[in-house]
Amino acid sequence: MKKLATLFAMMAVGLGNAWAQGQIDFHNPGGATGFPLQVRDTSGNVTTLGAPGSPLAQGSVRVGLFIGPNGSTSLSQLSLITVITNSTLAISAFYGTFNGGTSFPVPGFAPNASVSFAFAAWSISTGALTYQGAYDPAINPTKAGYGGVSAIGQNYTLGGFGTPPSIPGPTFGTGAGQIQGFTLTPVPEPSTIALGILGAAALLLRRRN
Amino acid sequence: MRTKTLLLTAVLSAAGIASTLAQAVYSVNVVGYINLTLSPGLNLITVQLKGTNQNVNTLLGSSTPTMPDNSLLFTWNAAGQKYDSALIGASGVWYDALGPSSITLSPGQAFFIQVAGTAPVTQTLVGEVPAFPVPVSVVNGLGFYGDPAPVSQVIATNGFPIVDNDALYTWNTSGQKWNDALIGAGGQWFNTVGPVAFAPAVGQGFAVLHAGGAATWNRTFTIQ
Repeated sequence: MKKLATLFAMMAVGLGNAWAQGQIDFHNPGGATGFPLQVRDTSGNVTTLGAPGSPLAQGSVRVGLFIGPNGSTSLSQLSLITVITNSTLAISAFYGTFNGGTSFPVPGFAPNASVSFAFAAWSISTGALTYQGAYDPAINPTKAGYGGVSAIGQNYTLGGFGTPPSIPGPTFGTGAGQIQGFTLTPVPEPSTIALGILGAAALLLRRRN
Repeated sequence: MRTKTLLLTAVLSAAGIASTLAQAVYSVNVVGYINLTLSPGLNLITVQLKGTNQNVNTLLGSSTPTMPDNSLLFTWNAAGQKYDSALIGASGVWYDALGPSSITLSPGQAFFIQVAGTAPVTQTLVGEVPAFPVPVSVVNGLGFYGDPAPVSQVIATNGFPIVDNDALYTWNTSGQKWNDALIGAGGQWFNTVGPVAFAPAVGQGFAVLHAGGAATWNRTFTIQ
């Protein structure tokens, strides 16, 4: 019995063994019960990406996975881990979804680590390989296409921990720290940006006066 | 995981007896065995035959070679959303902290066996095919399942309750990791390129993160 107790104690220690890389759920659920990507066009109409009537077709956007230290509050604090193309499955439940793997390994982060994460999506037509590139006049001079970024998810525990290894939890949902979907909007024309800056400057001047 | 079944032989024998000895008295139970080759490390399996009882040491009582000492068995606690009942193998017997284990395994339940050492082990399951239909409770959230029928058939067309955004995980024994999940939509399973007719191998377990409410998989199966 003593030997048995020792074995169980050893086993408890073994449960703490970790894999080399933590894992994250890099997919979003679709349909009425999910959180598909939305698109808001220049007229303000909102559609599910890839659905009939949407300005963006299936397989037309890149989706980036960003991860960083827990507590990060902006995209600039996160690192781009990988990029995939959104779903091309012609089934309504998959409109607006992407799936880079439900147990996606994250380099540089151990299993069971708490991280912040975010997703960004942008039109392939922008010619950009990164979300920031879609807004870079040198890469996308005509400001074509759409882009959008999610909120920053917090306190996400990476999967792949323990024996048997844990399955990564859902990144999308209504729970604390989860993401509840996000919307892509047209990449602003340079003139629009300029007008915005002018407007802000005018407001500042008016307040000072 | 390689499998070998003798069920068909048993069924054919029973059928042969029935045709030649019409008035004879014989058992309608279909008995047989299943050999599962378990690799060193974690294996996600299910037991598809009923023993004289459902105790783990009855169902998993025989292996070749003997299950190495310090092998482990993990069952999933759906209520607590954690693994528990981690049993330790010693001299071919599964033990919990109090002695030979009293844990039972249900038809349709999957569990992990972690084979210690470096050599594969052939686990022999002996018993009878359960009486169908077999109800299998599918919980909201993560659950571990196996087909109660000792065949490899598509679970979507055999009544497994699938709702949109369910996720079905299979275990990659050679890589010792979870494969990316299949996603449920419209009563089918999909990978990133299209529908998948998922048919677990005989003895193979799988996990489902069920997005819907609790449901019952009323598995029917006709022995032919």
